Amino acid sequence: MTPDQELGHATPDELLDYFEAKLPDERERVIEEHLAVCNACTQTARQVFSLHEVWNRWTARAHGEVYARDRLRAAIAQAEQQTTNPLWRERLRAWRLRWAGRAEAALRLATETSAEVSRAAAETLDALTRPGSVLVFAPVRQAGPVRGEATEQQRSAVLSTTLRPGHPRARVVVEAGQSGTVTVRVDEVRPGETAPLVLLSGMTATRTAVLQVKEVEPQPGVAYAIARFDDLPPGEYVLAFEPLES
Amino acid sequence: MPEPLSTHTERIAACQQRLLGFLRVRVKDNAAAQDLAQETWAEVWEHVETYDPERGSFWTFTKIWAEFVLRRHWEEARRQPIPIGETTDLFRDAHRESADADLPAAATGDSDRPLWGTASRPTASEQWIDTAAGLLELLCRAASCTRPPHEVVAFGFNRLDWTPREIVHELAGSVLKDLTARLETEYAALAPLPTLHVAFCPLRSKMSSRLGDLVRDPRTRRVYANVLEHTIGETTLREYLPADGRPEDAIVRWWDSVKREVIKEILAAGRGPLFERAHWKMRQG
Repeated sequence: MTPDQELGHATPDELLDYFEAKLPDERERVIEEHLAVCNACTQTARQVFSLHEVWNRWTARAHGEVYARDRLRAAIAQAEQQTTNPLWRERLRAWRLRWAGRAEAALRLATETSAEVSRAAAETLDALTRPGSVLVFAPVRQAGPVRGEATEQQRSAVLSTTLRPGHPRARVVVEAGQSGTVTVRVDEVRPGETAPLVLLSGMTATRTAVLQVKEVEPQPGVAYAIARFDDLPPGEYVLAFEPLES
Repeated sequence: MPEPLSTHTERIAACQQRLLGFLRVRVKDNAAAQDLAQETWAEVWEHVETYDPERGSFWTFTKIWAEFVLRRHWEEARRQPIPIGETTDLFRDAHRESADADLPAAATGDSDRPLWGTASRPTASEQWIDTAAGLLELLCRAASCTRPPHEVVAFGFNRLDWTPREIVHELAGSVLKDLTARLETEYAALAPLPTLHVAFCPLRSKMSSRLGDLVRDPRTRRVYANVLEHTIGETTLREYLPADGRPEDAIVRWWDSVKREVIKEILAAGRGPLFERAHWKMRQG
């Protein structure tokens, strides 16, 4: 035992053993009692604990999810700079600052078109969903890979959800084609109720960046509101809903 | 027959300092540790009648409640939105960091600048904000660490959620060159970062070296004496597994060696997003 260890001080190696529960009980007790009174060791131990925690959470999948959040945060920031609507700018700013790349709900959309096939797919992106989100999309119909002449069914993907208990339903329809569309429809928006902004970002198959923000707008003569993204080339996109909390 | 309350009071008094030490290193500051210690004692006191000395020590009983209180504390922190006004700098920095992370060091013309970009400035919400740059730093450091490459490759598959058993049974016969390529491809499929190929570069480049040229530590040279003269990329994982003992245990030891080396390197380097993150915690103490 080194003089430092006799005083109860712990080395980084020993602290790693401590956080991995690899120390003998007696040494663990000595270190914990020492940590209650030694600021220097507590500082080192906090660093080791912090790194140990990040290390244990690190997987390739987690890395991809964090990267996706960084990208969404950057997309919100870019939309905030580009919009000419001051109210939207404020809402986007609040979204970016408050939720750090998280959304009320997020979907990954993919469309593909060739001479032989057009297809669309959509799936939820849980990694981008904020804690406590009330928007949970359930797939209603999902297009699978097809060959030959595409039918109407195969060219679209649909997901739907209830915005909040007792509140309107939302429905996202993705249609593939040379000029695809993504339609976000919210049923029964009540007068005075704010519908979320919807941000669509991603990359076309020809590597052109796409970034658009829409607000679902009431339609004349009907009880639902719609946001529609038209003329979307085939590509991969993320559709993110502004957090609904006030 | 229930034990007298005075016995429990004595037991609590004997564990108080230890509990504070246990909590201090797991939260960001001493005030939070004190609060959580109070909460823990409240839980312990409420459930003290369920303590059975035959099933474990009083400290073990206390630690179970301390871990419960800690998990509740972290979960509450995770649910909290970030207060507006406290985070502008963080997100300005994090946004810059994220943008930097997309650029290889060579592309910036600054060879001294680490690949993972500039340091972040964490906030109370850091438990669910870890930037991609921080994880990229771990990947870069693991891929370039001085542990023998087979350990790093086996560790890489751990980050792809492979178990030791799967690695032994499905990968041990493959040469390291192929495993490295597969690791990079599968990592990129899950985390499509533009700089990923740069992060894997140090590991890839070792595949054409002889093990004896890379490994200097006499003990490690003795352990792998049979493959020292071989080109690393042409060796199989099986050639590094010990003849005696469970091969799965060796895989776990390799993972642990890589982890220890990288964490100690970050602490010693004193820079990078992860060090800054840990250092920020330290300053709150």
